[in-house]
Amino acid sequence: MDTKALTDNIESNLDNFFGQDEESIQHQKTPPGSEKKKFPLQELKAIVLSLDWEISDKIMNAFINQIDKLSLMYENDKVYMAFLSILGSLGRYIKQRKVDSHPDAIKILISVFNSLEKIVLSKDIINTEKNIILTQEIKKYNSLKQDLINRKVVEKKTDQQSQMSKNAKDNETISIHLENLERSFDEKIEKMMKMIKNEFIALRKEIKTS
Amino acid sequence: MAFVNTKLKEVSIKIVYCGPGRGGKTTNLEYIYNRISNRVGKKMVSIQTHGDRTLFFDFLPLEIGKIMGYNIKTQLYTVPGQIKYNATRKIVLREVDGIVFVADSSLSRRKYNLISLKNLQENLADYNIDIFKIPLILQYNKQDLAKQGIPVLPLKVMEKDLNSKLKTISFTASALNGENVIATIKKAISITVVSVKNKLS
Ligand SMILES: Nc1nc2c(ncn2[C@@H]2O[C@H](COP(=O)(O)OP(=O)(O)OP(=O)(O)O)[C@@H](O)[C@H]2O)c(=O)[nH]1
Ligand SMILES: [Mg+2]
Repeated sequence: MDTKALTDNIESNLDNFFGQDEESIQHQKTPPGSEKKKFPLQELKAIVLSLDWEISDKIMNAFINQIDKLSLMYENDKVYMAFLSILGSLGRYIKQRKVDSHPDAIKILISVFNSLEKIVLSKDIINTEKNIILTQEIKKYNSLKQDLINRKVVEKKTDQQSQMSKNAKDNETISIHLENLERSFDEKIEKMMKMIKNEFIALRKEIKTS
Repeated sequence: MAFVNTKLKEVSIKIVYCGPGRGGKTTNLEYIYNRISNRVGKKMVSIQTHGDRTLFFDFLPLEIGKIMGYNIKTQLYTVPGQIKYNATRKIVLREVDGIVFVADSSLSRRKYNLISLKNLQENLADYNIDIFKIPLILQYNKQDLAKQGIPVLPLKVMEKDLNSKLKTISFTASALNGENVIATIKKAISITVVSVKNKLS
């Protein structure tokens, strides 16, 4: 079979497998100037997207500024205001903790923003729907808050423990403790890498023999 | 290199999604998975994530059926895009047969596309794979951002940055909406199978 025939054969197989595709648009540009009209969350959205990359005071301040601006704009809408206040408090938390933020904080912030965007964009969404979406986001926010409180309790406990050992050898103990923590983290990673390597080998074997 | 079992008439090929962190590799795989999950019993596996960042890899096996009498098994992987996880990236790239490079079309990510492509070239070179020879598809993802007023790189610029030397097939895409996700993987599988077959014969 020549390459052309083989390719046709493969591609028709793939069509069967994935189902017929929406037409594939190789190299198609989005039509110029489409959707130029500015929508109110545009600036906030740009900031939210950039959070994927960089969490600096500058960006977080811009974020909080936008929230304040939008809060003035939407002050008569309860649902919007609820969204904005969650975003605001997440924003302030992330600004404070930056890379040490809870790993879910940014995720939840993005999710809350996406839901707000959805509500702002869809013109004929009814209030019940809005409330359902809002409730879901509040749930996520609350579970994050709970998790943070739990962590604080744990931190306090370890604090107390180190307080007790303080008399003994003070800072040295703490730095050794930290070093150990780091080491055990490295070891964990090392272990996982090994596990994955083995998994690859096993996988290959399985494929070979099956 | 692909595994060929002549007795069972089976070929396994490995396709890896590469590209800068946050570019949309995992999103591509998730879309593919959702598209076919009702028909194939197989699970998509995401190993170790921090938030939604991939720390090790995502893995999705597909059995796409018989071609020339051979059962083709395809394994899709994504690597972690973050610069610091190069060791893992390298492990995942072992024995790769085909690559989808998912570039981020946002203007602000231009530099990271370039760094990531360069890194891919180096990692492949360590396995004696020539980036210009291995089947590779470029995907310019997140095109939808333009509609929301987020500046994206013009296609011309992306082609010049990433494809002027590779001269390979490229797709604009929006993995979040699934636009061109299937087209990308179909092309990737197809050129990879052809290349594997040509290598064997
Ligand atoms: N607007 C838009 N966002 C997208 C698109 N594709 C992915 N994203 C978003 O970009 C973010 C990162 O996507 P992932 O798929 O996790 O990226 P990744 O390449 O796997 O990232 P790493 O695992 O860190 O290397 C997520 O918030 C996605 O929802 C797209 O086409 N358009
Ligand atoms: Mg990922």
